[in-house]
Amino acid sequence: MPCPRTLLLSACLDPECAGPRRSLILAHVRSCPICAAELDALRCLSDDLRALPDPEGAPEAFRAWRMRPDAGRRDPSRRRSWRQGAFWWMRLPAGLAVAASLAAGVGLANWSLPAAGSARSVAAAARLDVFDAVPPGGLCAAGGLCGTPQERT
Amino acid sequence: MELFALLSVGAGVNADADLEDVRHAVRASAGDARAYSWLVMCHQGPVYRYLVRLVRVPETARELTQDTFLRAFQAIPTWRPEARFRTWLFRIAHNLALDHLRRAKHVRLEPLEAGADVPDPAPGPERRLETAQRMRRLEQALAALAPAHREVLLLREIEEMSYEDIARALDLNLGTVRSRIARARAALLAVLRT
Repeated sequence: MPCPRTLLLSACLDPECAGPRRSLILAHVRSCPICAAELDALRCLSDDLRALPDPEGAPEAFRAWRMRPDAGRRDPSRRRSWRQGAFWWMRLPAGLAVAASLAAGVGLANWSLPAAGSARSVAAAARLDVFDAVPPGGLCAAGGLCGTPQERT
Repeated sequence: MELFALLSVGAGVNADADLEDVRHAVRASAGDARAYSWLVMCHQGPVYRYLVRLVRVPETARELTQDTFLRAFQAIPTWRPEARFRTWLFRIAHNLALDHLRRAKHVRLEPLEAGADVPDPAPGPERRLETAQRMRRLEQALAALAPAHREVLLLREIEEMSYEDIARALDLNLGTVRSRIARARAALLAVLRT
């Protein structure tokens, strides 16, 4: 059980104790060396407590909070899927537009296939030309056979 | 705007920090996750500081801090601006710490690293050493107090809460808070003098 004096002096440290009560206590402290020493000790204690350094190892709660899979969620019963939403039908035009553009893309690809096929066959034929007896761009299999008579002489 | 005017007058919210808390808490209670993140960043340090000195085990204090913010996040739709957000948060932290202390009666107490890295503007190494030793002794004396005394001292001296806020956070009446703070100071002085 602390001395009642200490209880009164402790209250005097805090701003909640104001007015005539505080004035009375302080008036007594001025004339009483024991209470003055006690109040001084309490003041030093209070100052030291406020000067205590923060303990190390503070958590990174914010990061952990964000990383927890269930952290950002409210009550699951309150969540609704977009199908259950009141305005789900407003998304229908956008869906239809996407489907139409996909279909058009596939149709265009099929329509252009023959042209692409012929181009591929021409390229394949060109590659085979290197095995031909007539070199690409040449007129005859052997240059000497097609020469003019003047050239032969 | 009317809400904030009402808060300023009705609930005595004067400090800018409190107004910022209220603004963000109102947005967070409406589902704004970024506002809640702001609140977490602002308050996680003080909440951990309080819990680690209360439960005395840093790892447990870290878990309790995280639990405090998760509980607060779940309960923030029920938060009302009449209550200061900080006090409301400390009440959650306090209840979690009490539950933990009740469950684990034989908690292994780890000494805090207090005083190992005490910032001190004192010029000489002797003075620095003296301050560091005083702080370490104070941490040990604080740890030796009963939890009921420790919690009021932490809230009053370190978190600088008013009697009224402490009463709300700990669910006590004002008279009990006043007498408990005085007893806690006296007990701490007695421990330091022995």
